[in-house]
Amino acid sequence: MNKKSIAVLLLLVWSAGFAGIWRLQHSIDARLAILHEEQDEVLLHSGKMVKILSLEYAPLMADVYWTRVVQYYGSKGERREQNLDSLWPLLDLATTLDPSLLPAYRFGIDISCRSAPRRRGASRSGHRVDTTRHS
Amino acid sequence: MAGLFISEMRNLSGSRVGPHTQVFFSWISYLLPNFENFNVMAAAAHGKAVPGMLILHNTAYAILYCGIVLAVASAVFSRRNLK
Repeated sequence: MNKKSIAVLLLLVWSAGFAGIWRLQHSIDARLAILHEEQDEVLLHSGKMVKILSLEYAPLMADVYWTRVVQYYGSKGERREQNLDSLWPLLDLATTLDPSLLPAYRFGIDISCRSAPRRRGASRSGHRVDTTRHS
Repeated sequence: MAGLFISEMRNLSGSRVGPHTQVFFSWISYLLPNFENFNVMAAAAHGKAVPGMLILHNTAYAILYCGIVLAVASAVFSRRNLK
């Protein structure tokens, strides 16, 4: 084989190979996105229990849960997902741990109004949103 | 090393770099080997099963990439006198 034919063959292998790589990469990206999809789970639902477990650091834990609320809502918005089932338990935990956490109440009221609950004063999960508590 | 930062290359924000640079890095990201394809640590840590098709596609990716690199390397080194 002369140099020219080797160069042509190499160019063909190179272009066909990277076209294949391009397609494979898109397929792998789609599968990895499904695999890395977060599953939102609130493992501890009892605010009282978390309060006992956090000892005298309940307000700090409330801040952690409040940060988690913001991250949860932000990630849902980024992924354009409508399901906010874990929002209520997270907000409830944050406000139980620190009853004076006003931004959490304001955020909860705002979201409850925006997400058009099934009945007035009820969240999607069916819990009553007590907006007057500790305010 | 560059193969470990493929997603950063693809997600370069338009506010930080120009559009031409963005396109350039997007192309480069397909030419470099993407080692992040093989990273399933998070899934394994959460007990999630790695899909068979992902393993198959990753294997095909590795074989294809190695084939291209070997073809180019053999063409380059065939002209050289290594004696």
